[in-house]
Amino acid sequence: MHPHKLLLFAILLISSFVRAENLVTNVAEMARLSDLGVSADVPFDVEAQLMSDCSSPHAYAFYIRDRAGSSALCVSWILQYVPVELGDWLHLKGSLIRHPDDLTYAVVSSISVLRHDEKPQPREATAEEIYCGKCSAAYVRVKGTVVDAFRDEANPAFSFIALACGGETIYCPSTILSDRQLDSLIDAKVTIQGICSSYRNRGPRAKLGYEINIDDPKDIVILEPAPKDPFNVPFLSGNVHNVFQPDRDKPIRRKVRGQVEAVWQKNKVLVRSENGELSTLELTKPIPPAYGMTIEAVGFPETDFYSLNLSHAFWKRTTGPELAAPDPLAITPERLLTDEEGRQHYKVELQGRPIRVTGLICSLPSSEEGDGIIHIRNGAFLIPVDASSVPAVLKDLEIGARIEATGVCILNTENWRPQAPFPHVKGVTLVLRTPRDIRVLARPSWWGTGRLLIVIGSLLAGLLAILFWCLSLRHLAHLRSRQLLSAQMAESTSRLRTEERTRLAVELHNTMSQDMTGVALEIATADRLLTTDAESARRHLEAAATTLKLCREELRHCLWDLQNSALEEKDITLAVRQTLAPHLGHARLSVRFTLADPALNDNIKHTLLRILRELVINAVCHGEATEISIVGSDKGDLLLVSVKDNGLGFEPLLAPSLTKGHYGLQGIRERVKRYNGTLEVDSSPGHGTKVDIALHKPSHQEHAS
Amino acid sequence: MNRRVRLLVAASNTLIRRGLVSLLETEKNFRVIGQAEDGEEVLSLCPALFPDLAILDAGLFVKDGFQTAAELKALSPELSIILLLDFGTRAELARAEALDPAAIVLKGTAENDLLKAVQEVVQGRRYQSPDLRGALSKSK
Repeated sequence: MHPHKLLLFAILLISSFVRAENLVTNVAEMARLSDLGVSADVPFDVEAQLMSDCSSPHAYAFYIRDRAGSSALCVSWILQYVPVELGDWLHLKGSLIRHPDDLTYAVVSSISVLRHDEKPQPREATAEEIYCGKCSAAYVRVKGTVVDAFRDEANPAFSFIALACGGETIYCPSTILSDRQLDSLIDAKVTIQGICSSYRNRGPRAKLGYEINIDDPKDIVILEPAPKDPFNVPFLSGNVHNVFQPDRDKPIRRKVRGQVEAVWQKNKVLVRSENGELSTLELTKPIPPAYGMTIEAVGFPETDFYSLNLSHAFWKRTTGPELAAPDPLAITPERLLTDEEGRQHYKVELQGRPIRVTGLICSLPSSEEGDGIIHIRNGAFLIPVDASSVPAVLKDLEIGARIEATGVCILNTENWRPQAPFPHVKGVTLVLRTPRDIRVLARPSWWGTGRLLIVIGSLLAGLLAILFWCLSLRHLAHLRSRQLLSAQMAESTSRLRTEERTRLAVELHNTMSQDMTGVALEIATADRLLTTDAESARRHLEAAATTLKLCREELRHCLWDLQNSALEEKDITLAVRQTLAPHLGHARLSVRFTLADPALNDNIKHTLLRILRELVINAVCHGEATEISIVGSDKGDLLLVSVKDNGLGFEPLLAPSLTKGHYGLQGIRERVKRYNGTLEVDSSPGHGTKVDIALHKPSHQEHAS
Repeated sequence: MNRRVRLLVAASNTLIRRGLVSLLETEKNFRVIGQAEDGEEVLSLCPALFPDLAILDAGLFVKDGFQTAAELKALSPELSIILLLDFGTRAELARAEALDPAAIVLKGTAENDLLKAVQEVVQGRRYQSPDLRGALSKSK
């Protein structure tokens, strides 16, 4: 044999030994490792009998037991595919695997059925032995009284039997019992056999303790059946402070008989027994008795430390003396809920007593299908009133109504916590009994919140509409004003144009037209004299020529004025400077106007400018002046202007005559006269010239013609 | 009728006044005895000079020709008045005719028909410039 092959064989042999050493071959070791937990997977290969199938919809789990009597729990996904029966001997292979939840499971990967056999006889066990853990995974039988049998509401595949067994209660889960079977078992004395397990993976209702798994109806053996008549149980007795201890030899249920005092929340009933004791029933089915009925009720005793009550109760009608309910006690919520110093103080002694309070309704149940709770407010206190048993009264009620409610005072106690010594009281509810228990004292005012909202809403809508209207009006006004403005502007532009045209026409008429007429008259004169007096005719023609020259000059000024914006200048000083600038030559000009009313009519302004121009031209051209000063002021409707120069001066009386073509001063005088003004000339040769002009300012309506 | 006709000429425009006087004096029969620059002057001169005829420019200063004529008529009803109109507009003509002057002459054609108008008035007739109607139809 080749040395390499030898080596390989040796390695394989050693490894198989190592593996064989780790391999688990008995059930006791499996159970031990399951409890201890493994760090790595450990394979197993065992032969064992199938004792119990405790599969749930979430996992397939089962108990096995070997010849040595050891049991272990296995899980397997393949169990569902293998036809097995309880008692079958199986050959199982698989591994012990540590699950992410930190528990170790024996996961079976291969199942083969070897043969079928009957399950062995269980051993008798007591509750004590079971709770000590002595019977862990053992096949046991216990004896006791069924104190409760119910279906798990959280996982309806399971049902539980509570077995009172020597002062302890053992819970026995099963997946095979019907509701009817469960009901019939209550109060029966039985033996139950099965695997005692602490299987902890069955969901929220799994108890942290030992259970006995029931796999077969035959596992329950009825030693003494439950009483035929469920009402044939002892009366409820004792007091609220006795913790109720179940007795293995006695039925667990107790009975009360009495008159129904109140019904609330569909399944809560207050019963007053003949001796005056009050008990609260919590019915299994929401079919309560009516108020005033005499009933017998059976249920499990419990206490809230204020009264002895029955839970999971059922009832039947019976006969008995009619008991008179005590008169209702009128009480204020303040007295009901607080003490003299204002601290919270529930009057426990009023539990179950009829009381009467008044208040304003501040909430009503949404519909008759609701919880039937009305809240009434009285001062700072809010009291719930349970009307679930008399839904008809809700029809007449409305929020805001003032009512008087009579009903039974019921303390609302919270669920009991194991850490708390007793359940706390959370509040007080008034439970109505008959429709007459509500009396409406005052209807709510018609001025409700809803109506207020509607009014405010419509006011707001109106406000919005007004706002919108205002905005649109403003917009319209804006449009209109723009239209009006443009119309006014067009109108005033055309008025200005008309005014300007008129001014121009007047100007042309006053000067050119008149002068032309003068020329025509001179020529006509010359024409008439031509044959008789040639010398005179020539003189007249000369005068006509001079006048025409003047006309041409005038025309030139007119045209210059048309192109000049001096008239448009608001400031008279600037207008004067602008007009005179072309005629000044080297002369210096000072202009000072102090006018109380600076707004001058265009016509008078124009006249003034023409006069000043004429004077300045005279002063510069004929007087050789170098300094000219113009001072203007106004006095009432008189415009006073004084023009002074340092020119050569002249003798006014000897001023060049018109016939010599010097029309200047005469033209000025005419212009002044047109404004009903005066002209004074003060000059002498060598002493300059001073001209004082006074013009009457025309009123606004007047137009100089 | 050898006596020369005594005329008063009133016009605010010097050139017109001078022209009118020159033209009127070319006729041997006419004698310009006074010239006035404005309406007030006319009213003060007339009672002193006793003219036969007053030729008034409608556009006199201080008091215009129309007002002067009206006052003159009241002052000396026998005085003949010739009114010189600027344009001969309907309004102007209406004002002139209301005063019932001896003649109405358009200033623009005075060189042609003023002498004729004066002669007509001297002979006791009334006169209106033939162009007045034409000017009127051209104006509004």
